[in-house]
Amino acid sequence: MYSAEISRSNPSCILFIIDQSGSMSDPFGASTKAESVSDAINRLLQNLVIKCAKSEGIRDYYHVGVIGYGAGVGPAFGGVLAGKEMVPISEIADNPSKLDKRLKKVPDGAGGLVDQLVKFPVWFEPVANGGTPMCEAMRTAHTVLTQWISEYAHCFPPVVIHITDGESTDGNPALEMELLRALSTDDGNVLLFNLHISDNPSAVELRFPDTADALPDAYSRVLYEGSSPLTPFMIRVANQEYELNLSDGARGFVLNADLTLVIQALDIGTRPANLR
Amino acid sequence: MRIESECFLLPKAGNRSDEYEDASHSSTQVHKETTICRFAIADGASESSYADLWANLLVSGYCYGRFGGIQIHRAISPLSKAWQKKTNGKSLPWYAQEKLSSGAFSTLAGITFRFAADDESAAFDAMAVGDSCIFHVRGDTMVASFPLSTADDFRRRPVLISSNAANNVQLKEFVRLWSGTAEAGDVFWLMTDALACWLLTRYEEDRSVIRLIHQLADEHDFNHLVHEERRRPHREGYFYLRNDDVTFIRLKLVKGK
Repeated sequence: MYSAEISRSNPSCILFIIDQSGSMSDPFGASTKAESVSDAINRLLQNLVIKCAKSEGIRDYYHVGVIGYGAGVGPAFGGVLAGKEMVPISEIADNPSKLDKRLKKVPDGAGGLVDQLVKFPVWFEPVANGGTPMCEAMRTAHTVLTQWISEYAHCFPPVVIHITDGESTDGNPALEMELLRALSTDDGNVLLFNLHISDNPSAVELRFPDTADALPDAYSRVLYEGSSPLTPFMIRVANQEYELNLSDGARGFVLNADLTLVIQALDIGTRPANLR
Repeated sequence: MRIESECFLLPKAGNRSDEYEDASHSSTQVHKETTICRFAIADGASESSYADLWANLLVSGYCYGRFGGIQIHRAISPLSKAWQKKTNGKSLPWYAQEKLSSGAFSTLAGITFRFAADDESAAFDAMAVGDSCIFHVRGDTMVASFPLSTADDFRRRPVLISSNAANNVQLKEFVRLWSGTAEAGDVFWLMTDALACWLLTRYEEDRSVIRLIHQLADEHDFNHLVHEERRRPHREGYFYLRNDDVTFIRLKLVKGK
C-alpha cells in the first residue's frame, strides 16, 4: 500500500479544503489566520510546481483542487482557473493570479545566507466571511475525489489537506471525515490531514501526535480523530529530514504550528515515496 | 593487461529515451609505459532541471582527469561554469527560472586504473558522491562494494553534487575515496542506484545473481533482465528493481595486450 509510482501516466491528487469562515479573520501570529493559510498554500503550490518543473516544462505528476468553505462551499481557484474542481499542476504553474516579488534567503556558498529577489506566485488571496460548513465541505470533497478515483483507480491515493480554526457550524464532521478516508484506490485509502488553528488559550503547539491527551477541546479531538495515521514513509521522512521524532501511531494532525511547520507538514503529506 | 568494457543503459519505464538523466563516460590515456583507464557514471536528480547536462559534465570531467588529486570544489568549479553557460540566457517562465537558480544535482562514481601492458595486476583508485556504486567481483564473489554496502543504505536521500556552488558547502565531507589493487580476471561493475540496490538485495538473498550478471551477453539480455526485475514482486510489497533510469558499466581486467 502507498507504493504506487507517481508519474505522468499515474498521477496523484492533492485536494485542499480551506476554512474561509468569518473567524479566519482573527489574528494569528503577526497576521490573520486567513493570511497565514493563503500564504502557506501559495508556498506549497509554488513548491509543488517547482518539484514538477523540468527543462522542457512541467510534468503533470499531480492534479490539484481547492475547496473553500465559508459563505459558500465550492472550488476556490481564482482567475482563469475559477470554477475548476481539479486541475493538472501545469495549469496551476501557468496561471497564478499575480507574481509578487519577495526577498528570499539563499545560501551564499560560504555557509551564510543572502537576500535574493525572487518571483512569488499568488493563486489565493485571504478570504474570511460566513459560517463554517465543514460537513458540507467534506461531502463536496467526497464527490470530487470519487470522480477522480474512478478515473485513476490504480494511482497513489489522494492526499487531502484540510486547514481550519475548527468550529464547524453545520454539525459534527466526524462521519463525513470517516467517509472521506474510506475512499480508496488500489494503492490505499485517501489520506486526510487536518491542520488546526485554535484560539483556545490552553492550546499548545502539536505536530503529528499519537494521542489525543494534550488536545485542548472537543474541536481539536474531532479533527485529531478524523486524521489519517501517517504512512511509514511519511514517518521516516519526518524523522530523518525534520528530526520530528515521531512514533508509529503518529496522525496527520497539526495544532497551532507556526507557518514553517505547517509547510513542513504539507511537504511531508505530499511527497510520496516514489515520485521520480 | 587490458580492460574490456561494455556499457548498458535504459531509461525509466514510461519515459522517453531523451528523458534519460544518467550519464556514463570512459577514457584511455597512455603515458610512456603506463596506461590510465577511467570510467565514470552519474545519476542526474530527476527533481532538478538540466540534470542530464550536469551528469554528463561530471562524468566527462572525471574521465579527463579533472578530479585527480585536487579538492572537489576546484574540480567542480569549471564544470559549474560550463553548466551555467549552457543554460543561461533563455527567457523562461517563473518556475523554470526558480528551478534553474537552484542548480542541477547529480551523483558521481568514477574509477581509475593504472597499469603497464605486461602487468598482471592494476592499481586503482575510485571516488564517489551519492549512491551510484562500484562493485569489485572476483569469480562468483563480491570482493567489495563502494561506497554503499547494503540494500538498506539506499533508504537515505544521498548528498549530491550541485551545479550551484552555494549548495556544495559541505560536499567534501561526503566524498568517498577507495583504492586498491586488482588482478587479471577481476571484474568491476559500475551501477546507478536502482540497479546497485537491486544487486545488493538479490546478493543478500542468493549469491547466484553474480553469475546471472556475468552471463549477460548483450544489450538484449540486459534489457530483458531489467524488464523482468522491474516486475518481480518482493515480499515487502515493492518490486526488486525500482523503476528508474539504469546505467551499468561492466569492466573486465584481462591478461595480455
